[in-house]
Amino acid sequence: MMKLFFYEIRKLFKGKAPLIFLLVILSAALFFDLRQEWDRYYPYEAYAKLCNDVLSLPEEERENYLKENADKYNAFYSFELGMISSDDEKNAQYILQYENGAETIYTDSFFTEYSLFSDTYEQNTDTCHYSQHISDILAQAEKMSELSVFGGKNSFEQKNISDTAAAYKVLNGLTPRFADTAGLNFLLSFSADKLLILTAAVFGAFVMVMDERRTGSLRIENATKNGRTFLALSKTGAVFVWCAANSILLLAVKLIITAARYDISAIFLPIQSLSGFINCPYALSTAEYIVIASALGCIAAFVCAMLFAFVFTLKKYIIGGAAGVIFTVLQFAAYERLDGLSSLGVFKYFNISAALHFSETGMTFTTVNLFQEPVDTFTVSVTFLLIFALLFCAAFVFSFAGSYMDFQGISLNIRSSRIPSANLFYREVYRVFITKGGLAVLILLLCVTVYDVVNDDVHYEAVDGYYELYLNDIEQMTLSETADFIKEEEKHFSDLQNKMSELNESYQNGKITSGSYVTAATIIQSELAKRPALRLLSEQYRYISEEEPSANFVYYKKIDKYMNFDNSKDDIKSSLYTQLALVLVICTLFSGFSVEERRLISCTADGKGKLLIIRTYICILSAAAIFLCTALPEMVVLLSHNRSSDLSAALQSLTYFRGLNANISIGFYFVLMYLLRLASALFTALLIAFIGITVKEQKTVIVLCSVIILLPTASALLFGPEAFPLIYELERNALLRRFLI
Amino acid sequence: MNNLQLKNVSKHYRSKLALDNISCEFSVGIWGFLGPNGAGKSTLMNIIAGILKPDGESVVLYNETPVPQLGRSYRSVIGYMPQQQNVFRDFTGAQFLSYMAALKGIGSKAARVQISELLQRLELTDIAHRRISGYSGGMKQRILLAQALLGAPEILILDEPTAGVDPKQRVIIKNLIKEISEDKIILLSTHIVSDIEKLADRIVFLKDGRIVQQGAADELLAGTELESLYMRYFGDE
Ligand SMILES: Nc1ncnc2c1ncn2[C@@H]1O[C@H](COP(=O)(O)OP(=O)(O)OP(=O)(O)O)[C@@H](O)[C@H]1O
Ligand SMILES: [Mg+2]
Repeated sequence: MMKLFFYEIRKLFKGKAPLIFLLVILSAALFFDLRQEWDRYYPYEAYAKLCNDVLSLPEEERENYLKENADKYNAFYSFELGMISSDDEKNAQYILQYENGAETIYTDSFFTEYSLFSDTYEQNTDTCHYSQHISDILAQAEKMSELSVFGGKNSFEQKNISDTAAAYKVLNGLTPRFADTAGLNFLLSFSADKLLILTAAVFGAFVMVMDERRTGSLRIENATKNGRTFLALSKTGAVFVWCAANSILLLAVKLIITAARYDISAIFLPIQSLSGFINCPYALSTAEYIVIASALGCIAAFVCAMLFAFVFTLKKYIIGGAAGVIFTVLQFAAYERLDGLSSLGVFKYFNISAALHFSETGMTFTTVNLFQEPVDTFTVSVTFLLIFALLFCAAFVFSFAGSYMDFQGISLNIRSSRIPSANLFYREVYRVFITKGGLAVLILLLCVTVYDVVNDDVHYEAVDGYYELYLNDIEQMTLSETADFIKEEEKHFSDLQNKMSELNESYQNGKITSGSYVTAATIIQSELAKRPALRLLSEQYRYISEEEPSANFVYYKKIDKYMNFDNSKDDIKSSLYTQLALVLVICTLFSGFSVEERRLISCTADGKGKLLIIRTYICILSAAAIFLCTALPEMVVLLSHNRSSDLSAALQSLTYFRGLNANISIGFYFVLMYLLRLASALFTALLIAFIGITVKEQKTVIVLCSVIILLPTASALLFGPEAFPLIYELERNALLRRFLI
Repeated sequence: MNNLQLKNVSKHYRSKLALDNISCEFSVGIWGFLGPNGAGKSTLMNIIAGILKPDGESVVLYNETPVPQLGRSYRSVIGYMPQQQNVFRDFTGAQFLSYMAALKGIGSKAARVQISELLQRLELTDIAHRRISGYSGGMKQRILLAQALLGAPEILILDEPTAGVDPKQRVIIKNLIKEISEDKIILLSTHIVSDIEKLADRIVFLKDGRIVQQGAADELLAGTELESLYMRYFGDE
């Protein structure tokens, strides 16, 4: 029995496919974890520095220091936008400070400075007053239990209140501390690993059951003495080991990445030290909390794996599989959509999704109403996991022990009674796109690009909006009229500026109240907020009139975006999609045949030269099709988002291209840009073709292509220019720009 | 008259010697290869089909010209049926045949005619539009044979064409081979002695990569059963 178990484990970890899968999971985890964005407005460095500074202050001064600065920068920020804020004395002082030239300390804008201080302030307050917070909760519970609106002593509400109080009572005496915890918060917010661990689990079940069923080795195993129940138990054990190994792998990747980027030395402090976890009802350190979350995730994945292991033993495994997928999706939907307080509230937590989301559900003490008894969500999740783990394991073992697991492949071919045409080009296209699913790759690629393009927003600053308004104003004007317009506006602004100075003076001399000062100053400022846009306009006017008469006034924001001068790396993302699709399609075109198939092909008349030519031809066409899938949606949006006058304006109208000698329009530049992208898609396709022809074995081809092609692009996407400067330059339009200038 | 000539053909798999300096000549007719497992039958057939490279000094001539020089024109006269059955499992039978017809450069119209005729002769019409992965062993064998026969090749290389095929289908296959054997060189290996007895004009005995005996079937079989002949050569192990 033990021997059988170890043998099954060896099967899982020794085979080529599982090893490749582990690699894939590892790189996917690395990729997604690295892609996971820091979700605060200010950079981590600023936060770390502030934390350091705060920690060097005596404890009693921290709160005040943070509060003061948060208020100050909030005032600066609102004033900058010309928004009215409360007209008290303090605000007036801040406005005056702003007028005399205010500066930020940690970041580069008033808004980010404000968010930095206010977040840190909150974090500090939470940790400082933790014991107060707990006694508040307890006191409130006491008070509420005395109120008769919450029913009699045995009502659900009363029990809920006393349970909650009991849960938090334990935490009395816990001492969370203020520390640099943003990295830990970041660590707990990783979202990709839930999907990855489930994928890994289902894959494990697939290798253990479906793959053996497919290849027929199950039949041989089943016919042996221990080949039924004992084998099923061993497989169950092996799947669990597989899930655990994957959980540990994912956790390790997460920890390593976070530790490399952030300070996680606070990991042994109570979890309540993290912002957002002040209400966490468990007396755990962050490290313990993370381990428990991972363990729950692992068991949840195991439950899912056993469900599919069971499904894979069924006669109608396709219907079963679909049902399994629907069941899993429903569980996620239940967790996302159900209201915990409703009558179905228990189902919000009675599923694997809640178990996977322990880093969310554990943030606060929540109960659900189960037959008038309050049950906390942790208990609900653990109960679910135990019940369903047992249920699915039992179902799997019984089904495995008792069923005939023959295998019939699914046929997705369109049934026709006609003999297909014997045209080599057509047959190869059919093989790659229909039989091997290349068409599905194309459709998926198109969907992803369309989704991206539709959901892609340009990030506007205030100055961009005002500039666009100015462009509307001057649209019909001649150049000299524009000059007059700019002069007028400038005069208007300097008048306003004078008024502002007078106002400052009056306030400083005590001639007006702080209330009317704030009101008047805000009104003036709301006008003055346009001034940076006018500066841009007048600078462009100077350039047109003095240096480059062919240039024009254009709305740069959207053009910058599509030319990828906005640092969003969108172009690298779409290159990655393109390359991924190319690898999948071109690989099946040139490799993936068994030795016998290759022999059969190579001893036919056209199996060498002509086939190669036709495949190359298809390779080029596929590359073009894949390019179109990624580029077409973008082009449509590009054309619809930009004014045609902007597209026909000379390239020099953009600040990036000042001093350019060539005589081309912005629109033409876009054409060149897309041609370059097409060329790079073709080049990549031919490279993959070359690898496929020389290496032949498909798994090796895919690994090689990933290393040579996908890895550099993925790292350029993740790390920017530092990682692979050459690729980065190639992908970006830098190449084109350098060529032109 | 077509003729195929082997001169000093050897084949090493790493250090394992699979074919040991074989020289012989095949003229039009049906040639049956007999020998125990691992004797080198498949290796020899693959070399003749041009899909396995023999050792350096070996020469294969077709009508006095070295095969590598002939290239495409040699490939367009051979039909090859491999011993291994798991090929193109994702295709339907009809798709597989069309694919092979395309590779053999048979025109689309001619291909359609040939394919439907072969499907009919080998009683595959009913299952032609099912995927090969769902075929039984004998069905796979027949679809592979059909593929080899596409384009009426002058040299047919059939590696165990009747293995796993039921008696009725074996008769059909044998009749078909016999029928088309006129002015073709047909090389076929099998472990079913009676097939060789009925079909082959000449018999070649292979053992440990060497030809131990060859000759015209009626001469070799004069007065003896093939089975006892086989035992005489290979039975002493
Ligand atoms: N790809 C290979 N790599 C290494 N050795 C091989 C390979 N193919 C065949 N051999 C060896 O070459 C020898 C001849 O094999 P071959 O397949 O030609 O035998 P066979 O006569 O066709 O046998 P069977 O009747 O079983 O089909 C065997 O000893 C075999 O082990
Ligand atoms: Mg053989």
